[in-house]
Amino acid sequence: MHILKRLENNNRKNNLVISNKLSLNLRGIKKYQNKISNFLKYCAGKKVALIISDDFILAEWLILLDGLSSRISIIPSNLSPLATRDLVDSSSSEMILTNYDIKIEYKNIYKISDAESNIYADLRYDYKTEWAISTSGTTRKPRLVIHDLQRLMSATKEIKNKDNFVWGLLYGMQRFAGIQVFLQSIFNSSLFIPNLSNNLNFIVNQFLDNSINCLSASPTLWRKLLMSPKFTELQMRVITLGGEIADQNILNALKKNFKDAKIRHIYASTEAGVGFSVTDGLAGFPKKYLEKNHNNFNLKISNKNTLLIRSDAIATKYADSNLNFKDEDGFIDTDDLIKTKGDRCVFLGRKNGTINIGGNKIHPEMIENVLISFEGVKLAKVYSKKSSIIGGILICDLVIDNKITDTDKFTQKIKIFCSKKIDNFMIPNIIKYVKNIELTSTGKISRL
Amino acid sequence: MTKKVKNKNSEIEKKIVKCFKKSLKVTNLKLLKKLRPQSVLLETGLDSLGFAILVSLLDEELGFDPFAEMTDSFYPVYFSEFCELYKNYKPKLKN
Repeated sequence: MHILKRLENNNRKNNLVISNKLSLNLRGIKKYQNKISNFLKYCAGKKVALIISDDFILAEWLILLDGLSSRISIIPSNLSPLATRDLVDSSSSEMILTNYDIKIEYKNIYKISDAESNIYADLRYDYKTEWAISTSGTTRKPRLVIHDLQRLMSATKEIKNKDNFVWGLLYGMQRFAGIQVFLQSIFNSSLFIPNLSNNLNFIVNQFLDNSINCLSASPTLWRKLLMSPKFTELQMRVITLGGEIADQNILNALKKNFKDAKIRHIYASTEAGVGFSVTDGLAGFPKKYLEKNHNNFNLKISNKNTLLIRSDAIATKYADSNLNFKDEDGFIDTDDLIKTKGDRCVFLGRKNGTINIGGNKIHPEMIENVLISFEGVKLAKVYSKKSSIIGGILICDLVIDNKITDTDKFTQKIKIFCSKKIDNFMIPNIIKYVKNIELTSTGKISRL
Repeated sequence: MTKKVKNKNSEIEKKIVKCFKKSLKVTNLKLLKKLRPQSVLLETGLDSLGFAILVSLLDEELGFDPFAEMTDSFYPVYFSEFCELYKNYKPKLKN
């Protein structure tokens, strides 16, 4: 059942989506749908790429196109023109819909502002629309993962009679996490979209003004929110954590400050979808999850101690490949290392050594290659140090030419150099100058 | 409070201010207002990354991270609360 039909069946009269200046309800959507019906008819049955910089507008068009177009590809608006072009090509889209002047040459680019006309057209919403959602693109170039509404909603919780629940959106709508919050919120509650370029205190004040009582955020962001003076004034009812390992401290802090809130931490990725959630207030997950046959997910541990998941939420495939994500038994390997402790399973981190900093996945070797290419650097080792504040910070040890004495200046220069080669979140936060870096017996940097 | 404790607290605060300024420098941020006891940490100019670097630098300078060891979770809002956390820190007894 497509989104509009579900909203109609739920008889949604309240606002679905709110921003600082605008609100969207079902009546308003249907009115707008009439005004642009001739344009929508053109979108029917087609693969449409959405490159929309405004999350409020994106939300509206996801509602309008689901069930109408054969595929909606959500292309992040913050990519370089080349990366945008590659992603659009991989989506096989027949048209692009945008709200601004995008800097790529493509056939069939349409501006939303030109969609209205006086011509009315009948519309048929009879597609099971594919949703192509971009991966984060932090470790390799972004790829589109094919989902559909049923998969995306397989783990959303039905919240009955909760018209007074208002979700705040702290993730952008252009990627998986934000889309999950959107779908969790609009059928039974409302979604408030702040301007994320404002500072967090400002956003918290907006949350207070709009009576936000449901939020989803990463553990790092939750720690930051707890440092905002007015945050604990919110009357939180639903708290979800995702994107990073949720440690016991943050779970305890949230429970302490929001006694009426239901707290759950979610295991999810763009490829695996929302795998499962944990609501018992403890880090990790119960070992019994490995034993039971649940309705919508199964877990097991691989012989490499990584978590395998089988669920209804797993995406079909990447848009640019026919390879299935799943093994012959329908499991996807998450590459997350698991350890059993008593009746609990805890997450240790990524199997392949990818570092997770604030939800961004980083390959240390890639950054080391960039550092070594800077004149004066002999050896470089990039690693993360556990941070009680943001989960982890990125550090590099450098062995440099012993003729270089002004290390402060050297640090400045190497950071500028890095900023031209790699994304900002990959630039080491702390640079240490060392005499030696330990190597393994085969000459590789020791990462023990 | 004894003179010894007062001196120790004063030293800790000096190191906190020193590391605070270093964290701002490392993250290319500026101190928005003079650091005072009632300064709201999130309004000093330091962002969460800078804050994490500050805690890491203090860990190296002082030899402990009170945030990693706290059993009762506490997130300081004001600069004075942050300093008190470090001044009142007592290392856990090891068996």
